[in-house]
Amino acid sequence: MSDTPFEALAQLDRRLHEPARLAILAALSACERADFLFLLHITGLAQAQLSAQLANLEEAGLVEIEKRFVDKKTQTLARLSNSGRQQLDGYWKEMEELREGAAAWRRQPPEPAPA
Amino acid sequence: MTARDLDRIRFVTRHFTGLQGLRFAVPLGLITLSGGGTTYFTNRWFLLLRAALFAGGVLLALAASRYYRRTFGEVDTLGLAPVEAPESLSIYSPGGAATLLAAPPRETLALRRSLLLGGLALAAYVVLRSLAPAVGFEADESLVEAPWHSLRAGVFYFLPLQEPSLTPTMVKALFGQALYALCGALALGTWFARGRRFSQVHYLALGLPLLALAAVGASLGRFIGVGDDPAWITWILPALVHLWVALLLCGLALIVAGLLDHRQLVRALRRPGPAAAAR
Repeated sequence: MSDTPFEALAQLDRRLHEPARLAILAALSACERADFLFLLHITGLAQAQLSAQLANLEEAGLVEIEKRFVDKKTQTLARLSNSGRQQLDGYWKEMEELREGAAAWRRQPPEPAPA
Repeated sequence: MTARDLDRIRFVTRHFTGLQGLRFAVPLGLITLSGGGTTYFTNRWFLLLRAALFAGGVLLALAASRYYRRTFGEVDTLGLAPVEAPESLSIYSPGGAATLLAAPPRETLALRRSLLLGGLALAAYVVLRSLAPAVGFEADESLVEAPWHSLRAGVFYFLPLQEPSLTPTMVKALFGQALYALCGALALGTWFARGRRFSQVHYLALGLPLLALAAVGASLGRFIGVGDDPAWITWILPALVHLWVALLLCGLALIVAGLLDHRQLVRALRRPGPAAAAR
């Protein structure tokens, strides 16, 4: 653990540590898979932004995308990959350590001012 | 974005199917209401009302499924077995670790839990009833009077020398009290299954009174026959004796719970999400 939690904060995986992607991953972690329409509603992202973020996550290997035809329409389904679940788990643990580190850092007595 | 936003996202996703109140709880409530006053079939309009409630419940269940799918999309829920190492859970992993264990689908688990809870509630009702002195009921069983008229007819209750015989009044009373136990247990179980969240407190508020009615009905013999009967017995007696009152209360409880679930789902999925606000 670094002297302050700020260095660790700067080293967080940016593929996960981004509000839009984190919202998507949080939703997918609570289900087997979800379709595009649901992710649009639960994250509140614009359609284009959600598409772009899902593509980024798929490219990073965190998410698997499946397309199928339902009622003559294309339905996009997303699910967390096994690697994605493990990386997300690791991310939560990192955040927990950061929280504890920040709490410990705040409890430290301030260094006396130099004479 | 805060941990609370993430928690909300995970909760709504995990319970997406259960929160579809118009698809399950409200139709079930309407169908339950339609069962009230079954023996009163001389009034055509009342029969039509009951038929409309039943048909409305069935149609709503079918239409709501399509509505939720087209409006909010689909989620394949999964069976999340208890995590083997709960101490590894992070507070930033709201609702549990992302790691999954192989388990049956959530719907199967929910059905098993409901059956178990219902069975336990009925068993507890039977045990409670057997521990208290038996109480007999006699009420108007007219087939031509409207059910609500029976409230004015009065109910006679007494401590019989033997176990009271299963007259129509007794059968209906027992069935109604068992219904309170069943519905109350399912409501309370739902509240626990959804993490005892404040947003789900309506299940607690609906479940506890129903369970209380079942408990009072089962143990009524403890409160009567010793000196003057408490005044509240006269007030609560129609709910304990008349099956149509039990169906009314349980049906209304289901409808209220379903509407509140639907409201929560719509509010969660229609407002701008935290990711959009963070842009």
